[in-house]
Amino acid sequence: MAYVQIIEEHEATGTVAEDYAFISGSYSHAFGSEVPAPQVYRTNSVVPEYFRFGAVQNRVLTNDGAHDAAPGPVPEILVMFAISKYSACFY
Amino acid sequence: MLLPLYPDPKIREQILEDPQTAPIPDVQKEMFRFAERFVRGSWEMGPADLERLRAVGLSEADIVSWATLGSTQTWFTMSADGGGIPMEGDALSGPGVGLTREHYEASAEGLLAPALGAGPRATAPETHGASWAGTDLEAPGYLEAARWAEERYGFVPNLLGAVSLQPNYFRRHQLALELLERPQSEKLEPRHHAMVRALVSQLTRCAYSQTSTRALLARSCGDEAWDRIAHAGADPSTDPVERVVLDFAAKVARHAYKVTDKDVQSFREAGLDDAAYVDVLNTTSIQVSLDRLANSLGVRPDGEPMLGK
Repeated sequence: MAYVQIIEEHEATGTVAEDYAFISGSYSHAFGSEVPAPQVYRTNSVVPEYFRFGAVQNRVLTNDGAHDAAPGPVPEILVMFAISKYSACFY
Repeated sequence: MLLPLYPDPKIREQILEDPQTAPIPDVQKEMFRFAERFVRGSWEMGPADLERLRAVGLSEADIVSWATLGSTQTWFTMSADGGGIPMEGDALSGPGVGLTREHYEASAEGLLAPALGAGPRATAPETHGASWAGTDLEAPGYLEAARWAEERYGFVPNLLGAVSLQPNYFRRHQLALELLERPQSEKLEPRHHAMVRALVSQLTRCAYSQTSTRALLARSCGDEAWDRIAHAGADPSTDPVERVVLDFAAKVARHAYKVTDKDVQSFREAGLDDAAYVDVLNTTSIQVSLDRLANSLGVRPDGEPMLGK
């Protein structure tokens, strides 16, 4: 149970609905099957401007959902893991 | 996240315990070192940190990429911890690799940013360019972002030059700067928003951001507020709403993993709503994410604040 009110997909309108569709589509493309928007984005669904910020970050990380970035010296996912590890982020 | 990269559970365990002792490539060890300094004390980073990355083969664009990824992931970790979200069923981190919340709480000891007054004040990095890292100030993406900044702020912030080697991220940074200009919810007053930004930039000791956060605070609360803000949370004479907001911002900035549902409750008891809570959470996490980015790359402070028009 999240700490704050969450606007779920079926309740969303406007930009929140658009962003839910993009985020879910981006992850679905990456996993090869239909995936709902991950929980981490939902924290901000009650303020559309911040929900949009989450969607924009997914866009820049995935090249607008294409997931076609050239490999770097270390996988990006490992860099993100390292930040999470030192942040002691359980999620 | 670790499972597909390191199928061997022993290596995963070593990475979780201490990546510097794990049998992984030097470039990965340097990345973990960079990430640790980025999260724990970005204000202590210097040109030598970037030299170490160059020594293991990173290009200037790679260095900016790691700092940018760190900035982005900072926001994700704080959104997750601040929102108290449930775990994904198929997670590849945390419980997905056999870890418990106790592991995180124990490993977090010593990760805390020192309290205000316990560490040095922010100092401007020494650099003649936009930052310690390489730049490409002729790139089309940068020039487009520079035009946006000129129109919005009347000048081009050094932060944009510092990240010019990663032009795909400009729209993220631009939106972050826009969101930081004012509250995004009805119940959070502009003065509370300005206080949060000022407090956070003091906690992160970010000389780059303090040019803007100090000016924003002065506009809402007067010049004397800058020195008062560090102690406002502990001052019983502080307005209760102000105290709730500042206590929460400091908690998120220093150790977001300690946030609980009681923090949301304190907002409600002070007459604020969930949107205001999310607003303070994001103002804090976006400010921290940009401050770590600026600190880690040594972005030279601008001569004037970014206040928006």
